Order: sequence, then structure tokens, then C-alpha cells
Amino acid sequence: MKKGMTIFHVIGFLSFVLLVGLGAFFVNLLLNLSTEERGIKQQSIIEGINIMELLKKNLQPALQYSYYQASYEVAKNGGSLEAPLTWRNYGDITGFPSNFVETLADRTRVILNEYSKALAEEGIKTADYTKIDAIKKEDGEYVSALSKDENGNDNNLIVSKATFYKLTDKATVFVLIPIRTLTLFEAGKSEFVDKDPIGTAVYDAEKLIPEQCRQIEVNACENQINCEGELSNKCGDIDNDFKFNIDNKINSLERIENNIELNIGSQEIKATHVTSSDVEYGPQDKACDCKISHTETTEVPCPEEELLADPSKICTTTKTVCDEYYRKAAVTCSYSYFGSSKVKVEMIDLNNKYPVYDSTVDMRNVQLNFNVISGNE
Amino acid sequence: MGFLDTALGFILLAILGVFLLVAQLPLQLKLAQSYQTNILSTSSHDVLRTVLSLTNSDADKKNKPTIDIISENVLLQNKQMDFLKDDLNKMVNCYKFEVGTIKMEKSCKGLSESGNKAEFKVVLPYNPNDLPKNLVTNIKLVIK
Repeated sequence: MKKGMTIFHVIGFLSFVLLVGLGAFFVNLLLNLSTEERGIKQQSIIEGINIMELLKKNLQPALQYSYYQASYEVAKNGGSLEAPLTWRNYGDITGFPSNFVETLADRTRVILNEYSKALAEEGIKTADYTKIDAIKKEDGEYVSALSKDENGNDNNLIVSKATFYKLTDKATVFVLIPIRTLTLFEAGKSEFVDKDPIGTAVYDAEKLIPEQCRQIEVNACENQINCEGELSNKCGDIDNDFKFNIDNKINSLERIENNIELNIGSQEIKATHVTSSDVEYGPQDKACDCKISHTETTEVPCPEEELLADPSKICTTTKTVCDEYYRKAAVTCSYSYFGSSKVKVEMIDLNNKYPVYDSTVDMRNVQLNFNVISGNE
Repeated sequence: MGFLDTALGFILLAILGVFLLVAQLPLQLKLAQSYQTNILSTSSHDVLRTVLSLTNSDADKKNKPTIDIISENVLLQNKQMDFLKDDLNKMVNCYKFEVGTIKMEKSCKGLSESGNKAEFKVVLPYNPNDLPKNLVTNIKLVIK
């Protein structure tokens, strides 16, 4: 009885120890699972934060590349997305795109949204950008991209993973870009809209025409007044010289200033003159041609041979008698010169080149192109 | 009989305990794999973060690692690789990125381990011919 009790107690004790051990093991396992689950969640959240950080980091170069491309495309056409604009047509400056900042911002927004779509994937929701602002700063252009819903609230970037986490952050992106697109447009406006250097160049070229080609005084018979001929004799092909001077004056405008290269290509130059004359008539002059005349018939003796054949024959002769001669005239020929030019203006920012697409992707300068037509009306 | 029944009961309980212990192992392994995936994913970003925050240091120059760059984007074999190279060079001062294998120019702290990987997306210059997928590309840096 005593021995049986001992075995029973031993087995009972061992079983108790086993049960307690198993219990402790399961409790420990549950605790471990709980700790590991917490660990998973923590790691997942860190992973999500990293994804969000990378997403925000990638949106900045995306905005930069979008602004580079938009700047290139908009500047290339003088502020439009189509053919280069004509900013000035003589005094008419309605061709200047006063909304160029909006055009630039909108093109940037369209490209940025393409990037935004490309950055989205399962678990990453990007935003559709609704507004771009570009402001000129001392060391570049500050560009911001905003994404708002129809109620005017900020849209968010969302990074999520099943039920583990859902992270949100504002989709707003801003970046200071070392570019001078706005500076180029401002320089172009100041140079060719606020002022008219092409018109001035034509005026300056006109001033180079010698005085003897502006007014020529001649004494001539009134029927021989030829101001064009006089001009041609004294001044040669003066219209062509005028054209040449206009071209020179326009070319002298080309320069590099503030690291912006200004090129002006004359597409068409027109030069002509208008002639007027002031005539003072003197008396008729026998040195001049006859103006009014009549013919006179008089009898003359016939040759003997003709009289032998016909003794009754009467021979006559006819002569012209001038009744009035042309007058001498003192003529003052005056010449006015008119020139005009259609030019293609290129303003190139030499500071930096940017990776932009134009048939191929390459490093290119931002170049502002537009046309100007002007002259001395 | 009472004693034997009790003993048998305890033994069955013990067998059940061992069975449960064995049965939950696959579950725990599966969980562990899941953690590992997450940890790997996170650590790849950590490596990136390390790469991005690299500074020139006095690390042992004998342990200069090399980095293989693997891109999903075939365009990177040509022109756009240059842009990427420039971008990466700006990000990581102590590496000289060349097309193909990236060679280390100077020693960098914290990157002497083998098998480190960093995967991240890189934004490429605008190219409407490649829309939409090639505006960004996945880059893998394998640090040997």
C-alpha cells in the first residue's frame, strides 16, 4: 500500500510537471506569437513609411523633369504649344502671350500627372495634380504642385497594405529648380514688347541714307523730268543699300548678356522708296523738244527732167514748223524710304542644359523663340 | 484500475501535448517566413537609406565593395542610363556609377558586407514614346 502510493505519487507528480510544462510552453508560444505579430506590424509600418518616403522623394524629380519639358516646349513656341507666336506686328503687341505662365504651368501639370500615374501601383495611390505655381526666385524657379478635390481639400498620397496599415500624406510637391524660363520670357518681353528694337534698327538704317539720295535738284526740259533716273544715276541701287543697312543694324543687336544669348535671324527684309517732285516751270526753251508744231507746204522749182516730161507739173516741199517748245523746269526730286523686317528671335539660356524630349531625349538648353515684324511706317 | 486509467490519461495528455507542439510548427514557420519577407523588404530600403547617407570615411580600403546595378528598363542600356548615372552620382557621393557594373571609387562606410541589396524606383526624364511604364524604373543595387 505504501509502495503503490509512492508510484502513484511519482507518476502523478511527473504528469503534473508535464502538464505545467506544456501549459507554460503554450502560454510562451502565445506570447511569442503575439510579440511576433506586433513585430510584423511594426516592420510593415516601417516598410510603409519607407515606401511613402521614396514616393515623395520620386515626386520631386518627376516635378523637375515635368517643368524642364514644359519649359522647353512652351519656350520653343514663344509661349504657345503650337507654332512660334509673333509677339509684335509693328505697333500691335497682342501676339505676346500674357498668359505664358499659365500655359507653362498647365503643360507641367499634364506631364506631372503622367509621372504620378506611373508611380502608382498596388498599395500605392498617387494623386491627380490640379494646380501648378511657378515663381521666380534669385537662384532658380520655385515650382509647387497642388492636388485638390472638388471641395478644395488637399488630396493625399496613400500607401496601404491589407489590414496592416494605411498611411496618408499630403500630395503637395514643391521644388526649387535651377532654371530661368520665367527670366527668359521677362527678358524677351522687356526687349521686344516694351521696346521695338527692330523698328529702331530700321529707323537707324534709314538715317544712314545720304542726303543727296533724299533730295535731288535738276534743271530739265519739262518732258524729260525723270526723278527715278536721277536717283539711279546718283545713288545706284539705293533700296538694296537700305536693305543691307537694315540687316546690319539688326545683326548688331545680337549679343550675350547675363548668360542669355540673343540671336536674331532676318527672315524677310523689305525696302522701298516713294518719290515726289516739286517743279517750277520757266519759259519755253528752243533747246528743248518741240511741243506743238505744224507742217507747211511751199512750191519749189521742179527739176528740168520732170518739166520736160510734164511742163505743167507743180512741185512742192513740206516742212515742220514748231509753234511751241517745251519749257525748262527747275525740279526738286524728293525721296522717302520705307523699310520693314520680319525676324525670328532666339533667346537661349546658356546657364544649364536639361534632359528633355524632342524626337529623342537629350541635354538641351531652354530656348525662347518668337517672331517680330516691324519697320518705319 | 483507477491508477492505470489515471496514468494512461496523463500519458495521452502528454502525447497530445507533443502532437500539438509538432502541429503548430508549420504555422510558426509560415509566420516566420512572412516576417522575413517583410524584414527583407524593409532592410532593402534600409540599405538604400544607408547608401543614400553614405559619407566618405576611413573604412578599410581593402574591403571596397562593388555594386551591380540591375534595371527593369531596357532603355537604360543607352541614353537614359547617363541621366540615371548622373542622378545616382548626385545621391551617392562615394560611388562612381558607370553603365553596367558600378565600381567604387572611394571607400564607403557601412557597405562592406556581402549580399546587401537595395531596390527602389528611379524617375526618368520625360519621353512620351515610352509612356506610361518607362517614366519610372525599378532599380536594384546589389552590393558585393
